[in-house]
Amino acid sequence: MGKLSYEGYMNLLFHPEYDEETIPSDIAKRIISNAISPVISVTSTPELDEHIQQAYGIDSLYMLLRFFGNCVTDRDQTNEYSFGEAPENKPSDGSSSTGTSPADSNLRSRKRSNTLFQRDLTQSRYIRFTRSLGDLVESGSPDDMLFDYHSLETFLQAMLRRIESQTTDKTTHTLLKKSLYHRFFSLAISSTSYLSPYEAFNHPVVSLIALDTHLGQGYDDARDLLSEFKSLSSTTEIFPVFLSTTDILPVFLLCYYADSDEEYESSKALARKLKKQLFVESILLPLWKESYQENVQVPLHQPVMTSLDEMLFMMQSPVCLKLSLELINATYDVLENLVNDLMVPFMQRKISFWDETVLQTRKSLFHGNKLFKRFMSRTAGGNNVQQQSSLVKDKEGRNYFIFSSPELLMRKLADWSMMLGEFKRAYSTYDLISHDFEGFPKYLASCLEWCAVSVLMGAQNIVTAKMLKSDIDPLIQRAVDTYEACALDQSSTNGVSGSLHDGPIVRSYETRCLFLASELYLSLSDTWTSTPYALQNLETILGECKLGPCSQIMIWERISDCYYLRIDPRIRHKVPSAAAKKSERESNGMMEIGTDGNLHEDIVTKGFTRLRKAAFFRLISATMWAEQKQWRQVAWCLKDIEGSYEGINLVNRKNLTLAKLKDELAKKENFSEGQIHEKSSVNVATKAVIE
Amino acid sequence: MPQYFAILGKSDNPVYEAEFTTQQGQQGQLQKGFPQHLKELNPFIMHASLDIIEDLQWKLNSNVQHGTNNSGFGSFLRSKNVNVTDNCYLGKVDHFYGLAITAYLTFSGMKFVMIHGNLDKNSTQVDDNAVKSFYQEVHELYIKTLMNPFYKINDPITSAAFDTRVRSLARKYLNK
Amino acid sequence: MSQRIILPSTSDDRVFNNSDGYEYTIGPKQSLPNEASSQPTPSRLYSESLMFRKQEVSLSAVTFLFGEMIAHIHNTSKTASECEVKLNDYGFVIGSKLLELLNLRASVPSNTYLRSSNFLSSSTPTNTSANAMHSGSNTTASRTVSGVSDIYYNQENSAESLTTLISSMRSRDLTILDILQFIHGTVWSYLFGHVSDDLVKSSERENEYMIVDNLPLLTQFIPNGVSCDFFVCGIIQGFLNNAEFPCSVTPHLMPLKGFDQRVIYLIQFDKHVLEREGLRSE
Repeated sequence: MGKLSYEGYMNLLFHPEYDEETIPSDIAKRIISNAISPVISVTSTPELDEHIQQAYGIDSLYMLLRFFGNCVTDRDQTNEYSFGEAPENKPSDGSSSTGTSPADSNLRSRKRSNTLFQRDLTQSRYIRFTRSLGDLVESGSPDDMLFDYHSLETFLQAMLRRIESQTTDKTTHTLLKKSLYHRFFSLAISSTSYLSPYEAFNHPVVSLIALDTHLGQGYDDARDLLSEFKSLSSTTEIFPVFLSTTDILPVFLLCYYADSDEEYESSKALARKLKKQLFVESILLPLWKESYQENVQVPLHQPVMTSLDEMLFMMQSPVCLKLSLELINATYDVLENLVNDLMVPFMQRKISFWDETVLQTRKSLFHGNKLFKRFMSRTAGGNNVQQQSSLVKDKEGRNYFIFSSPELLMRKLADWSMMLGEFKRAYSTYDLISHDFEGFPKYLASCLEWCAVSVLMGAQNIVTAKMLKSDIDPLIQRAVDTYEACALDQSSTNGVSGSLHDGPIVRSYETRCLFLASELYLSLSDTWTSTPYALQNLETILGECKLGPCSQIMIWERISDCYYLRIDPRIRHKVPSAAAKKSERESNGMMEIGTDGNLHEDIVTKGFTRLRKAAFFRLISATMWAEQKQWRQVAWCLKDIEGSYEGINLVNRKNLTLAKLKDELAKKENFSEGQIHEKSSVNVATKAVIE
Repeated sequence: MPQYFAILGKSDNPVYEAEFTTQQGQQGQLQKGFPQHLKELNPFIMHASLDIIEDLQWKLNSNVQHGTNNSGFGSFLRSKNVNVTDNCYLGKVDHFYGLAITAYLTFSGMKFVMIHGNLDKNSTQVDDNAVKSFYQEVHELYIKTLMNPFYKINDPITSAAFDTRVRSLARKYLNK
Repeated sequence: MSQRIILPSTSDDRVFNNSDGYEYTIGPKQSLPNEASSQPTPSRLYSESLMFRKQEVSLSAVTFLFGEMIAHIHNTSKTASECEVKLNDYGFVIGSKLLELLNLRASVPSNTYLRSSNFLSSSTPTNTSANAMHSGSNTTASRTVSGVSDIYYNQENSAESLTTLISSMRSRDLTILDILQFIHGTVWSYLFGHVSDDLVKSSERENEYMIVDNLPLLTQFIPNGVSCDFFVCGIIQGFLNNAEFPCSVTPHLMPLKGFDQRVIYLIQFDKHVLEREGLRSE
C-alpha cells in the first residue's frame, strides 16, 4: 500500500486501507489551490468526439480530459497502478517512483509527486477542465450562484447514504469524517463554472482546440477553429463585457494515431506550420494505439474538483469508464508539458506585462500622493472619470468593468498570481485595488476577501496573533460586511430593477468567504490563537447563511473540531488520549493522596484545553444527526464522546440527552436488525411457498 | 427566570444540584422552569463551561485582560463592582444561546456553577452583586457542611437542611 | 434543642430517611410551590456561626489524647512506616477542611471582630430579640412569630451568616509562595497560637520548602517523637493537596542552639506544580 495521496484522501471512502493515516494540517490550502486552479476550456470537433466515442465509449474529448484534472504531477488516475504492473506489486513509497520495468521499456521513466505531503505549495500545479468557452457563455446566466445550497445538501445526503452502506459503526471513522468535511468544503467554495464579473478564477486561461489528424483534419480546420474562437466576443450575443479572448492562450491539441509513424511526422509538420503561420503552439496526443487494447485497463474515478451539477449527475447515473494505462500516462505527459512549458510561462508573461503597463503606472501616479488624487475630477457618483469609461452597462442595466479596464486587469493580475502561488504579489495587488474599488461594493468585497486569503495561504510561519487580530480578521469582517451590504442594497432596489437575483448570489459568496477563512485559520500552526476566529466565522455561517440541515450539522461538527484543536501549544504533547484519562481516573479515586509521578500530570494541562466543550458540541451534532435520521453519524459521534463523559455522574443520568440518544440509537439498530430478520424469514416463507 | 445551580468537585462529580424557579407570577400563577429540551441539556452545558472555569482558576492577574492570552471565546467579563482582589467570584464565564453561565470557586477548588435561564428569548442579564452574594452565602453553607466530621470531601450533600437553606438564599438573591 | 442518641445497633428511619435533600442519582430538584412559607429544617450544623471564638483547652488534655491516639496506631499497625502513614491520614482530613475554614475567616475584615464581640457574647433573650428584629429584617419576609423557639431561631439567624460581614473573599492562593505564607502565618497561628518560626526555600532543589517549628506543641513531651510529627505533616499536606498543590511532607529533627526539639517540616512539591506555575506566570 502506498502512501496516502491527495486524491486518496479526498476519496477516502473508496480507499479504506488508509483509515489510520494522518494528514497535514494545511490540507485546506491544497484544496483551495485546487479550487482556484487555472481553467482549461476544451473545444473539439464533432468528428473527433465521435471517434473517441467509438474507441472508448466516452461522449466527447472534454468528458475524457476532465478525468485528468487536479494535480497533474500526482497522476492520481494511476494511483493503484504503476508501469503496467498488476495492483499487487505497488511501489512501497509512492512519493517518487522512477525507473522502468522490463515489461514496458519503451515508456520513459517519470516521477510521480504526492502533493499531499509537499511542503511548498507552488510545486504542485493544479488544473481544471471545462467545456468550450462558447458553451460556457451561452449556458451561463448572471443568476447562477456560486454554490447552490440546495445541490450541496443533495450531494451531502448522497454521500451520507453511501457512507451508511459502506461502513459499520465500528469502522475507524476519524479520518473519514475529516475527508467528508473536506469534500463538503471543496464543493462549498468552488464548484461551478460560473463566469463571475467580479473575479477571474473561473475564467479560462487556456483554450485547447482539438483536431483529429487521423481523420485528416489539418491546417484549414485549425485556422477556422482559431478564428471562430477569437471572434467569440462578436459572434455570441451575450458575450460578457468583462471577458476577452486576448487573455486566453489558444493551444492546438493534435490527436493522432500512434502506430503510424507517418501520421506522427505529419502531425509534427502541422504543428510547425501552425506555429509559423498562426503563431499558436500545439501539443500532440497519441490518442489511439493498437497496444492500448492489450494494456491494463484502469477504471477511472471522478476528478476531485468538479462542479456540483456534474457531481450530482455522475452520482445519479454512475458509469465505469476504463482506459489503458499507457494512454493515461501519455495523457499526463502531454498535460504536464502543456502546463509547465506553455501555460505557466504564458501566465507569467501576462503578469509581468500587466505589471509594467498597468500596475506600475498606477502606482507611480498615486504613490504617496493622496493630494493628487483629490484633484482628479469626480462625477456626482463619486467615481472618477477614468473609471466611468471603464464601466459598461450590460443588457440588464448592470454596471460592469470591461475586460480592458485597468481595474479588471489588475484584478486578473492578482488572481493569476494566486493561481501560480505568488501570494506576496497577489496580496499587494489586492490591497492596491481595494482602494480603487471603494465605490463598487461588489468588487470590493471580493478583493478584501482574497486579500486576507492570500496572506493566510502564503505566509506559512509569519502569521502572528497580532497579525490575525489587527490585519487579517478585520479584512475578513470588512469583506463579509460589504457582501452583506451588497445583498441588502440589492434587495432594496429589487422593485426598481425587477430582479431578485443578486441577493442570493452575493450572499453565497459571503458563505464562501466565511468557509475559506475558518478553514485557513484552522490550518495555522498556532491553533490556540487562531481557533477563536475560526469559531466566530463558523458561527456566522450558522447564524446568517442559508444552508440545508445536513450541511448545518457539518458546521456544528466543525465547531466541535475547532474546540478539539484549541490546545495551548506549550502543553500539546501532554494532552492524554481518552483511554489514558479513563485509567487515570480509575486509579486516582477521589482524593489525591500520594505523590506518584504521573498521577498529577493533569494539573499542568488544566485550563489549557477545551476538550469538554468539544465533546459538548459533538453531542449537539449527534442530537441533530438523530433528527435527520442519520444513524451512522449518530453512532460515530457518540463513540467520539464516549471517553469524555465516562464516569461522570452529572451527565450520565437516564433522563438526560446522552442516555436518551443512546437508547434511541440502540432501538433503531435493533429495529433494523429485526427488519432484516423479518425480511429473511419472509424470504424463507415465500421460497417455501414457491417450492 | 429559572436557574440551574450545581456544586462540582475536581473530577467533575456533582456534589449538589438544584433548580430554582420563580414561584409567583403577577397573577399568582406558577412560572415554569427550564423547557424540557434544556432540562436534558443543562448538565452538558455546565460541563462544557468547566474548561473555561479551570482556565480562569489558575490565571494569575485574572482581572487584567491580556492581549492575546485571554480565553478567547467566552471572554471573562468583570463587573465594575467587584473588588479587584477577589478571585473567587468569576462572574459570567460563558454563554450558550441566550443562557448565561456564572461561576464561583472555593478555596479548595470546588466549583459553584450556575446556568441563568430566561423566559423571554432575549439574552440574559446577570446581576453580578446579587449573584456574588448568593455564591458567598452558599460557600459558607458549604464550609459548615465540611465541619461535619462525618462528611467526606467530594461526597454528595444530601442534607435536607442544606437544601432548604440554599433554596431560601436563592429566593432571596436570585428572584428580583 | 433535644439531643438524640443514636444507638448503633438499631436502625432508625428518621436518621436514614434523608429524602428531602439532594440525590445525585436523581438529579436536581425543582423548587416546590410552597417553599417560601415553609420553615428551614432545623439544623445545628448550619445554625452555628463560623466566627472564630477563642477557646482554650488544657495542653495536658490534648497531649494525653494525642498520646493515646499514637498508642492506638502503634497497636494496630505492623511497621513504623504504616504508623506514619496512618498519622498522616488523620492529619490530612483536618488539613483539607482547614483550608476552607481559615480562608473564610481571613476574609472577614479585622475590624468586625471588635464590633461583633459584644454582639456574640450577649445572651439575654430580650437583647437578642431586639437585635434579631433589627438584623432579621432582610431574611424571609413571612414568618409567624411563635414564642420562644422563634426567638431562638432569630438568634441563630443573626449570628448564622459570616458572609454578611464579608465584602469580598480573600483571593485564592495560586502560587507556592502565597500559600506557604498563609500556612506559615495564619494556619500556624490557628493551630499553635504563634506563627511558624521560619519559612525557607531549599537552595538545592526547586521543589523543596521548609517550615521550621522550634518547639512543636503536640510532640514536645514525646522523646524521640519526630515520627509523631507526621500528624502535623498530614495537616500541612491535606491543606496543600486540597488547594491543588500536591506534595509530600516529612518531619526532620534539626536541633539548634537552645532548641533541642526543633523540627523542620520538609515540603516537596510535585514537579507538575512547578511546571504549572512556570506556564501560568508567563
